[in-house]
Amino acid sequence: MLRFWPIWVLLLGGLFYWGMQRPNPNELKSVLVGKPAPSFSLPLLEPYRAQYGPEMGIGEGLDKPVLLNIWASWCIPCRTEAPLLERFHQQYKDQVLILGVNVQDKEAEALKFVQQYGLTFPSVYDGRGRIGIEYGYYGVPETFVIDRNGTVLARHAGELSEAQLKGYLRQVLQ
Amino acid sequence: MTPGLLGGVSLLAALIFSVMGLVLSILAYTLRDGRYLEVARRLSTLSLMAALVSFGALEWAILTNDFSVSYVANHSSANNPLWVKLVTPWAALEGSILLWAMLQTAYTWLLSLRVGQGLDIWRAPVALGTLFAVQVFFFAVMVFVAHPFDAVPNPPPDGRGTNPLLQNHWMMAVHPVLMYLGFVGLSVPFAYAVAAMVAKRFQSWIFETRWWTLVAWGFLTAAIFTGKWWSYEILGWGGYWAWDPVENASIIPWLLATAFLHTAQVQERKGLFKGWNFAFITLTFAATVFGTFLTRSGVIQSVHAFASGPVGAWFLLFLLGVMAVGLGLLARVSAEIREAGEVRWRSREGALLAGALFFGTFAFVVVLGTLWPLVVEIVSGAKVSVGAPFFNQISIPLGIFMLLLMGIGPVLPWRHTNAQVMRNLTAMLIALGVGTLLGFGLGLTLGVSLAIGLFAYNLTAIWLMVAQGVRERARSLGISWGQALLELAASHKRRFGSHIVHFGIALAALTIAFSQTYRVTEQKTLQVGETWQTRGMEVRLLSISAKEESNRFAAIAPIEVRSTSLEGWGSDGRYQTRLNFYPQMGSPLATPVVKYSLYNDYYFVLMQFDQERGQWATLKIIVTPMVWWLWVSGLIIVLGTLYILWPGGARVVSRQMSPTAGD
Amino acid sequence: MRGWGTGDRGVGLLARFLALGLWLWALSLAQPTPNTPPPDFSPRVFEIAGELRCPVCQGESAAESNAGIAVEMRRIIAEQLAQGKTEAEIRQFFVERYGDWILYEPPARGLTLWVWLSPLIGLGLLGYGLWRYLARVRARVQAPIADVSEEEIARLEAELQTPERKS
Repeated sequence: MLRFWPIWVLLLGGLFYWGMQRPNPNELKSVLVGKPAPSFSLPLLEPYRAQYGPEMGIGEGLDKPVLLNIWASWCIPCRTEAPLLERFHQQYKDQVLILGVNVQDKEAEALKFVQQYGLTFPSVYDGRGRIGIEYGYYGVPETFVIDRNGTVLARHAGELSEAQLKGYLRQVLQ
Repeated sequence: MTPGLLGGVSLLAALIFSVMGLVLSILAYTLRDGRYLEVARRLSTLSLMAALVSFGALEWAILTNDFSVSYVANHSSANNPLWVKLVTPWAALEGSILLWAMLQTAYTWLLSLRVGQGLDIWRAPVALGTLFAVQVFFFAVMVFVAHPFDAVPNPPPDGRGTNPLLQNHWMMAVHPVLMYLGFVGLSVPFAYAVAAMVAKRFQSWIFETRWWTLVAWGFLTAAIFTGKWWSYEILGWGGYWAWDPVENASIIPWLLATAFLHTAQVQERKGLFKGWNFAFITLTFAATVFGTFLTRSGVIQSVHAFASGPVGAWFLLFLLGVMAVGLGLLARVSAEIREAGEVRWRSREGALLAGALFFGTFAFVVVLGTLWPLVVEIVSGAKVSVGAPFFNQISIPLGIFMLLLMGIGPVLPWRHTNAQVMRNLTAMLIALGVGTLLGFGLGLTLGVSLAIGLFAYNLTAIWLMVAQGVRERARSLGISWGQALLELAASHKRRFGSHIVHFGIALAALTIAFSQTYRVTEQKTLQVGETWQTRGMEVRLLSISAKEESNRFAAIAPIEVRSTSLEGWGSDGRYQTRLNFYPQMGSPLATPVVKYSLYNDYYFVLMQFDQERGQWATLKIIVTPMVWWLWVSGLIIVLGTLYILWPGGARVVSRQMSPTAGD
Repeated sequence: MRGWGTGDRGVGLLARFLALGLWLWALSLAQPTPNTPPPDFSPRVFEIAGELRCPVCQGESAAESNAGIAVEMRRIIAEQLAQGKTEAEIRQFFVERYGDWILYEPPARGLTLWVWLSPLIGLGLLGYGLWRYLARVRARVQAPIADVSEEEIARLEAELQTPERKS
């Protein structure tokens, strides 16, 4: 076996090289993809109640596809993502519902955030992040793409770029 | 002259000296010219001095709050207390590499003193050259990718501060230094082994590196125990070993070094196992580099990892280089290695080899478990975790076999077994049985009962060996037993020291079994003034207050604990549980208060508190048996190692070393 | 009753603490801790949480971590225990949401079966290597002494002269 030492050394090197060149070593695949999205109904943040009612969530029979965005006011990438989501909401609100889930946050901070970025897409409040765990999240922001039948098509962990968001929209609107 | 400039220049000088030393060593080897070797020797002194100056410059920059030096700006703060500043050089990546490199130059210098005395002209250039090559690597990494003295164009008024986890306990001042002393120390036996393989002198390096290996092993052991201690007193989860990849990275070299330490004795005594010892020492040194690579490349998730960067790739190349040199040379010369005979399994050499086999297997399991998530991901794309519950379970059978062998090994003679040996083994087995039954009788779990049995078994083994030696000597020389014991202990330092170490290991195994099995964690929210009855204790929350300290803010919730039954024995006292808030950290850091007693450890953590009115606090209480004894066992192991190494006995030991001398 | 502000350094410090505390949060954008007490957890909760991975942490278990998500996981475990669920059911709950990754103890099937077999594999490989090595050694020991070259004898003799070897 010693004769084959170059092979062992190269195998080990290859394994580590592969491990190091992964763009995101912490990435975790969602087990929900292809499965029905867990249903929930949570109280909306105050500014949205007039338009959408007291509660919102994912349940039986969606009238349009949903982009479920999990965010928090203390999360830095969420700050650059919020304006982008708002822009898409304005553009596509008839075809797709962008639904925010504010997790692990104080309600007052969340409201400040909503106001600061002028977010008009609805967000529900989940102070302890229970729904986040239902969806298997491992950080904020995270976005779940859910089609009209309530099936999860994709999960995006981390900040969305405009191109990625467009791609998901195209996927869900087909 | 600024510290930054001085540091940068001396770093460059150290690199140049190391490169020159390497080149001259190669010349000395190829031209067989002692003059080059002499210059190379001097260069090791120069590189040590340059490294010392460089390290001193870093300390200087930190102590004078010179934030124009990148390392100081990124990892220090003017508000840090003096002791934190003193240990800041090894609180982050660049500084830790500098410490490592400095220790390496010190070891190289020590090795250079051996040239001519022990290291002959055929091997000295190779051994010295190997260490110079290691130095070149470390200094090159600093000069080219992780420069601690990079200039900051617009120095900030204050630095970003030191990692709070490291500021929270003085143990952090000690643990990394011990770890590096151990890791770097293993480079010396490796260098000797490379020299032995190049010069085809397969036997004598084992005698010469005996002390080096033991010194490194001692440091590594001390480092692992201080690391456990730090983890126990700081991380706030009540455990001391989480099988985190970085912890694994420190245990792998320890396991392999332990295996090597034992098989080296077989080679020393019997001239056997030469090829395997080359492989063991190569893998041991490679494992130290592997550990460094894991902590600095971000290839595997870990709590302890340094920020990853381009350094990872360099360490990977270095790791592969070390393995290629060691294994490549061994593959080349293995056909020429001649053993001095055959292995007899039913003798001490057999037990030592079997022990090494288990240590090697354990190391294999830890390596595989640590890397398997990566392998699974590459094969199937799925993510899995291999963590503490797995390693804890798998180390039980391995530990049992190792403890059994640890008892048998020293009892068996090098040659044939005789009736006395069989009687001793019987007594040990009886102790094993009685101890285990006693555990059962007390209503303990199977694992813990077995641990008691194995402790009794090992204790019996040590007792029998010491007592029989003492009795024989006392009888044949007509002296008292006490005097015979003292004389034997002084003249057989290695043997007595190994008894002490083995006793420490047996005790450590016992404490690990107890603490891992019977640890209890509970959490409860208390109103100020409220009392919590639990685990034979009465815990009362006295108040909640705030306190400002130079480098942090603290919320303090003093509690009063009274024991109400035997279960809570030794828990009495007033404790200041606290949460520390560091400006550079997002969430508060809980510093547990630990009350040790001879049996249970009581561990109080403030988890959360009423930030608005200060009316309630959430406390976590962890009760763990026998942790204090774990620290005692660590101390015993280190003292046993020191006893072997203590000068004075060396003369006697060297007499013992000749293959014909008995025990 | 001693409460906020009656600590060792008075009300002023409390105010500063709160002010600085808020500044800290704002600066580091940390996850805020809610000002409601978490539930009380029995030892069982920590035992189960210790075998689950905290999803947002760098390699800490849900029992050790103080991240909000780990706190919530402990709460879920406590709730499910109160509902009379078994440990296996609770673990299954998390596996359904996170996959096997969440388990610190890898399942003994598929690709992770191999880690469970690793002690046997390691022992087997090392034992086989040792056996091969000893077989080769035996063959070489039995080889006629004439095979030893002059050069090798010279080397061995030189090695016997090494100072440390002398008694």
